[in-house]
Amino acid sequence: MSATKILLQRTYFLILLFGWLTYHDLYAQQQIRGSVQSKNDGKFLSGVSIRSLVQKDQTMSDQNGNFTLRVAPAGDTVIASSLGYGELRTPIKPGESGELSLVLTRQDMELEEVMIHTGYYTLPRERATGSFTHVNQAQLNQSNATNILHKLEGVTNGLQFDRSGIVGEDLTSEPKIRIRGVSTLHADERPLIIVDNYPYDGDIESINPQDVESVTILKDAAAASIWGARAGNGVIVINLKSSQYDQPVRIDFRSTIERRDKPDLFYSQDHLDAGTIMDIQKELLERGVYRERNNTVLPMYVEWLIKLRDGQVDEETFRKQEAIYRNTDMRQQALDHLYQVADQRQYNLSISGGEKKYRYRASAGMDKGLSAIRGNADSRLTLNLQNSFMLTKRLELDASLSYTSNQTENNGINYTRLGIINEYMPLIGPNGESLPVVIPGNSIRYAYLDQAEDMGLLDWRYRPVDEIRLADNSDTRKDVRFRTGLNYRLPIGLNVHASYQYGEGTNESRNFYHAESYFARHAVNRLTQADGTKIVPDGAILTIGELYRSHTNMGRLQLNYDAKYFDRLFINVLAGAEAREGISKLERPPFTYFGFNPDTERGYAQTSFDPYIYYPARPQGVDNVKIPYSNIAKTVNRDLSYFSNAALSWADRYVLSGSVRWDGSNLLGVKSNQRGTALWSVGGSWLVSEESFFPSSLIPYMRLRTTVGSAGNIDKSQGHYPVIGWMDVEALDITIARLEHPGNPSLRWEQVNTFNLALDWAILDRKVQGTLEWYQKKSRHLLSNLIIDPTTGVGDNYKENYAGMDGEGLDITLTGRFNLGTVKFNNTLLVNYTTNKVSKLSIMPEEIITSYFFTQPYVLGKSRDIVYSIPWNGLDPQTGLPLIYKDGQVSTDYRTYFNSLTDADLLDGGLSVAPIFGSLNSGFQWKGLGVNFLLTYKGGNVFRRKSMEPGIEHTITGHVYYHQDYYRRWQKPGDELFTDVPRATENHDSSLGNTYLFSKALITPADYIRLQRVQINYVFESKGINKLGVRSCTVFGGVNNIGILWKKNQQGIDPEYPHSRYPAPRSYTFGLQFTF
Amino acid sequence: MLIGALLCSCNHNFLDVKPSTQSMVPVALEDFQGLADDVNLFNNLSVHSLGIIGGDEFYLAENQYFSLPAGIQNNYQAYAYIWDKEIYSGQELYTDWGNGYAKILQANVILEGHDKMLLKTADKERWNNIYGSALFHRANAYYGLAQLYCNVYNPTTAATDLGLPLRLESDPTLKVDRSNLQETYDLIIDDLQRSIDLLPPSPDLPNRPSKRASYALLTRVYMQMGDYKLALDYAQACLDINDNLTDFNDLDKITTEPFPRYGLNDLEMIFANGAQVLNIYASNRINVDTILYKMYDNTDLRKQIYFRNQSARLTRKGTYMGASVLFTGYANNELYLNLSECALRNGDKAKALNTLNKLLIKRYLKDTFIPIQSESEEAIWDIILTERRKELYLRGIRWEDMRRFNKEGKYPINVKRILGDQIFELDPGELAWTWPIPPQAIRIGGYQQNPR
Repeated sequence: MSATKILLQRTYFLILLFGWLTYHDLYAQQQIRGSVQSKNDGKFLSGVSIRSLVQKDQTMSDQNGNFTLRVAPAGDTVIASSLGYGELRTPIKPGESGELSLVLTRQDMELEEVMIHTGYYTLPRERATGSFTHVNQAQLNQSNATNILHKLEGVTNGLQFDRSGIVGEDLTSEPKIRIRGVSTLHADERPLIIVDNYPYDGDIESINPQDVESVTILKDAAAASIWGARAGNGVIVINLKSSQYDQPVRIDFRSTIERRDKPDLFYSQDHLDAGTIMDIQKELLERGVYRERNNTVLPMYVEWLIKLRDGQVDEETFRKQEAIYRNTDMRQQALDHLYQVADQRQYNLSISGGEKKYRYRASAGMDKGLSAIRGNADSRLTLNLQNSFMLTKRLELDASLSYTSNQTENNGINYTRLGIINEYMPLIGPNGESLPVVIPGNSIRYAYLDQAEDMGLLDWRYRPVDEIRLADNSDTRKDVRFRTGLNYRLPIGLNVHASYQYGEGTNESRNFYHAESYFARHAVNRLTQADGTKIVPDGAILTIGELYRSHTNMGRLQLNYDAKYFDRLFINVLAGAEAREGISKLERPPFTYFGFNPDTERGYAQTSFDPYIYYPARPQGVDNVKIPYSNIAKTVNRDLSYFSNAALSWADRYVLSGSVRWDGSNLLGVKSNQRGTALWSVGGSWLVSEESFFPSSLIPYMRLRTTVGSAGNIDKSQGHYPVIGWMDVEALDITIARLEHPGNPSLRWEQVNTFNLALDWAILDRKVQGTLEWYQKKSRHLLSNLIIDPTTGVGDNYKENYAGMDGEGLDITLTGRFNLGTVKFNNTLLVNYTTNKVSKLSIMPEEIITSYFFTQPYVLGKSRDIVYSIPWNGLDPQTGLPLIYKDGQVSTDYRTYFNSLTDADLLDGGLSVAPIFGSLNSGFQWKGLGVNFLLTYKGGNVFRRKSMEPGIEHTITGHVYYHQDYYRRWQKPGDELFTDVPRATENHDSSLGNTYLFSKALITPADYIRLQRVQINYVFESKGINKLGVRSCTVFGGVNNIGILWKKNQQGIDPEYPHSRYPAPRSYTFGLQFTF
Repeated sequence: MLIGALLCSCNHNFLDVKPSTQSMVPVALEDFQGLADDVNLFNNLSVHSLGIIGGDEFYLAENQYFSLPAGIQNNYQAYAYIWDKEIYSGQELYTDWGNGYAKILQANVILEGHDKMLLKTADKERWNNIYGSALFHRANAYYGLAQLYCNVYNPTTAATDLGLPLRLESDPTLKVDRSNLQETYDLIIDDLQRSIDLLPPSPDLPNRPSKRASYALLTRVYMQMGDYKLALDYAQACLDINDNLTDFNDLDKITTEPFPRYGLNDLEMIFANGAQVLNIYASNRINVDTILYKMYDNTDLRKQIYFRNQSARLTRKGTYMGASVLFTGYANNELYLNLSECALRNGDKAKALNTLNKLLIKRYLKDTFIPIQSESEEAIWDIILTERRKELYLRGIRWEDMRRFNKEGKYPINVKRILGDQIFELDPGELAWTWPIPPQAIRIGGYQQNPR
């Protein structure tokens, strides 16, 4: 009964709310009849939603495509829409009756509908000669990421995310993004990002993905060369949502909740069981390896063993404690007490609309995230306002403002920070109390910390679970962008556009350590003097961090000319100039208060301490008061560009395009011929299927495209000015300067030349279509270290624009759309192949063999992604140690063997970055229900997996290198048939270890196929909700990072995260979207 | 394009802004003073190593020679000791050639910085000092390189003899070919003449150039060129400012470091400069030439100040640089000897002897020195030649003198090495008196190699 009542009340409320809109036309109405037809095949369409804009009537076409609708007699608009077809608006004149014939165009089959945005111009894909990947709203909405770049993964042809560099738990760090591979050796590898038509240097997290309409990736020279000297790595153009004139008010509300599983701490193999570790530690103590000094950190079990040995604890207490340790796993402890289920919520509200001379869009977004690590959180607020005014018939003014505030809290303590030294320690005691652990790396032995109170000091123990709430560390970023533009349309097809953008960003941090926090207690205790004098006063410590501020000013003047001749010849020309200035500076150095009382907001300013005085410190040595300090610094980057672009198109059948651009930068050489660079491109396309000779009944669409041209890149770390460093000479009592870098007056842009050949085609009534693109890249003038003529006076660390690199690859897109009854299937397969090879290089061959494993030096004629290894002959069946040969004889002299290795002995293990990658995006639509799967795959690459280093566990820092392969080690003759892990040795010999760790045995294939995500959405577009004023309502849910379907390696390693502590955890999303 | 034309006009100023204002990029006077004061480069890495190795002032016993450490930076020292045809392995960066040009690069950076900044500063005097210092450092480096890598100066062939690549700009990407020897000497003289007008008469610190240092170097330059008239004038000009000598009677004869570090407060110091520290002439490896050692009288204090016995091996002590770094700079004692020789060559026997006696009285045990009185030119020549060897031991001057005397032919010098049963000899007129340029420079820079 009550449920009905509530429903009635709500309905009543909604009627009240929207009633006034319909009120005045309620009694005046007339009917109109009509039919709906498909433009593509001429069939009459059933189930098309038909409604009148003013009259607010609504109906659907019957099975013959007919309908009857009430319209307002004073004039109305009939809106017909259907899934898979575009929306059609037909104005109805006052009093018009007659038969209305509506023709709808199938949208999903149309290539023409895709508009390419380059930041300078917009053009239909049909007329583009270059290589673009367009990612539309629907594709972006498949992912729930808060970072717009992350939404591109898996749906963008030619774009690769490389996470092989992620180590530890830093999973949120930006993966390396490559567009069509890599084109530089030392310079920035990141693609250029364009937001709102201007290069974007700010934090990409400041862009709310819900404000993004589409993303276009510019891949080849013709596409990217309009961005000239910064486009060598490809360009990602982010096109923001906007509004149209004469558009009814539209309100969108979207809310999403994402829950992410706790990370899998049991994933990493850098681990040994508590029992094993304790046995090793006991043995080490017996062997006298541990130095029992106050400034040597000892594992807790060792402390207990010492207590037992020295009679400070009885056997029974010891046994009890030992049992606790043996049954504790820090990974589980951490999961229970330091981690949580991550929770990300997003709320977005936007309103847009347009009148005859005014259009607007306003949006607000609020994101709140709780990290998987307790105590870490982030929140983001984004506000956007866009306004456009038609000042006169020909003059349009637009102005937009956006504001983003990003705050992160970093108070969490992760498992990695506790270190494997605490592997068997519980975090919470039987009574729920927070337990102390050993602090790795602070050089104070726990047995010493334990006596602090007896020595008249503050409690000096470190209790991780307590620490989370005793810190308040935050980082705040604020970004404001203001943009304005004037557009004047001259009657002859000429358009003048002037725009200006100002951006300002600030970043500041604040670190507050509670008086009871370990940080504050440690600072006090460390410098408490023998007589009890405290150099650092009791109380909290507050550091107001550096304030960084950046400003950008950009202005552009652009002329566009569009004309049509002979009814079929289209000419588009644009030319313009652009100037940019970016200033970033550290505006305020950090400032610290000691003995801070948060209630009175008072403390001892850092100025009352002299950081140059060294006091006797505990447990030993001397130390100063630690005051964070940084130098005020400022950098100024200026760029100036002139650009022009032209396209000629004959009946869309033949297209010819070209572009030129000149770029200059203050970073580059003073020699003016190097300061600027002119880059160009030309391209053409031919719509073969329009030719009379072409069997267009078989292949309804086929287009050939080709382009050639160049783009550039710059290494901002290099300068053309000399750089000096200072040092004191005591003998003469002077300070001298050393020339660290002579500067490079001839520093110039790197250049990437690209040739692109593409074939677009469609068959089977355009149900299956695809694109095949082949490209060749030649990078020239790449900065690289050089064997230099000593006559220049330059030492061995000098980079010049000397090196070269070649690359080529394939981008394949295959799309299939077909219907099975009312179920519409939609599949897109992406296949990408890319290679690179260093083609020109002049450096001395690296002599130190281990450099090949740590720094991966570039080698002429080889890919820059090569993983090197040394030969592996298996294990010696007698000794269980790696088999090595010297002069054809089995040897055990690993030191001589390893040291005698040269670069000629190295094996190419494979590539660290996948040459083959892609995805299968598969889904179906049935009425309002849509289901979508994303499979991603990579292949052809490898990684060097970690393993056990023989004997390392017997060294005092051995716990850092623990690895589960310890349990797979060789233990008796015959084991060598099953394992490559050598036997555990008494002593650690790094040459023996390296012989195994860098060998081919540990080169592991990284190929995989994974189910990245599944998303389900349901669109309510029924008459019922329309009556409530809701235009549409979508409910969606999905699962992300579902898992690996197949992988080549047998070691249980996720090849996407070969070096991190755990792979990205699975997450679940649920969300709602309303459009009013 | 119209817009382009409009914006073009502001193009240059707009892009001329320095990208970073951090103190790392030298902009201020202090920065360039710091660069000019770079003692590690300008005062501890002089361009004399090959000359010292190839000279006749020390020898290595067979076991000392063959126990030289291996490696790229050591091998060439061993090959240079026997004047081998190929002395380099191919990848040497920090030899005399590279060190000399490192100085030239840094001097050019200072000179360019000065050109840019001079207009903006009020402190013109200090800027002049820095500029003059850079000119001196550059000339000093080119002079040192010319003594090793170019034929000895001969006025009749100087215009066709190979000179050095004359790098006058810091830009490391510029290609500069070898000049002729006349051009090389012209540049050295021009740099020094210009520096004289800018530098103070005497330095405030021994590592800094001064008028005296430029005069001292000009003396050497003109002696090499055979112009003993001008050489005499410059030696005189140098001593006119300050002709102090240290009385060796006042020095501690026991210590292994009888002289102050960098010649700080040393009466004779003009410009402190030290040779690159190399294994082959380390004091714990070398043996002092026995013939030379026998030339010292027992009352000659230099015998105790310069030399010591180390486990039955006669070796050297600390130098005018204080520590065991070989002193290759300029000091008054050299100027006395230069003045004396130039006076004799210009026919002034009295002045030659007088100058010599003023120096020697400070070198002998108090009241034991009897001033030399001789009328025979031959006899005075003998004394001057002997005293140059005795006074300027391991100063990097011997190599220059040997080349000079061998060119003149009147007092030819040859050098002999004995390693076990192998004997190596370097006779006057041999091509080996000019060292080869490092092959890496030849390969990348494309210079013409010196014939060997």
